[in-house]
Amino acid sequence: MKILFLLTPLLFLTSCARVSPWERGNLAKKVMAPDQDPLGDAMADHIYFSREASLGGNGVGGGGCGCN
Amino acid sequence: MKTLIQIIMFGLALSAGAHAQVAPGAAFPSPASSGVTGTMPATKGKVVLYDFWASWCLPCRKSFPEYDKLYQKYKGKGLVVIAVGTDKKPADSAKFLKGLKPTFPVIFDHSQKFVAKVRPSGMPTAYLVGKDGRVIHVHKGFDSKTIKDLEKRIEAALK
Repeated sequence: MKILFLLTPLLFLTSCARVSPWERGNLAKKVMAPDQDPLGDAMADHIYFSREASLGGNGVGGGGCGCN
Repeated sequence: MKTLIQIIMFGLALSAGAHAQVAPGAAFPSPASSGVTGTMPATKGKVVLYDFWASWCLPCRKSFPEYDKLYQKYKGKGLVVIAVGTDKKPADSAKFLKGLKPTFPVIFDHSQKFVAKVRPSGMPTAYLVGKDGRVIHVHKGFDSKTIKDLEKRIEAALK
C-alpha cells in the first residue's frame, strides 16, 4: 500500500510534454533537430563507415564495402 | 486503496476536461475577454468565420487570399471573417502578414489565452459561428475543397 502511495506521483512526474497545435512551430526550430551539426555528422559518418566497412549501417543503402 | 484509485481517476478526469475543444453546437468564446489585440469588428447578429493561423503554417498562408475572396463575396450579406493570429511573437505575425495584406479583420492572440480556450486541433482551423453565437461547423486544415465546403455552409447560415 505504501509503495503505491510512493509510486503514484511518478505517474504525474513524467518528462513528457503535450505540445499544443498552436505551439508546433517550436518543433520546427533548429534547436529541436536531433542533428545539430549536419556537416560534422556527415563527415563523422563517412569516417565511421569507411573504417568499419559498415556502409548501410546508418540508414543508407549499400553493400557494406565502405568503398565510396 | 479505494480512495487512492478515486484520487487518480479524479486527476485523470480533470486533465481530460482541460483539453476539451469547442465543438459544433457550443457557444463560441468571446475573444475580447481573452486579452487579444487588434481591432475586433462587430459580430452581433452576424455569421462569423474565425480562422486560427500561425506564421509557421504554410496552409494558413494559402488560405488568406481565399478567405479574402470569401469575405468580399459575403460581407454585404452579413459574413465577418476574423483571422486569429496565434504567434507568441508579434514580429512573427507581422512578417507573415506583410505580403498578404488581408482586407478582413485580423486579431492577435500573443498571450495564447484565446486559442487555449478554443483548442483547435491543428493549424489552420476555421470555426463557422452562426448569428446566435453558436458554432455551426469546425473545419480543420485548408485544401482545394475547403472554400466550396465553407461557402455552402455560409450560404445556409446567412439565410
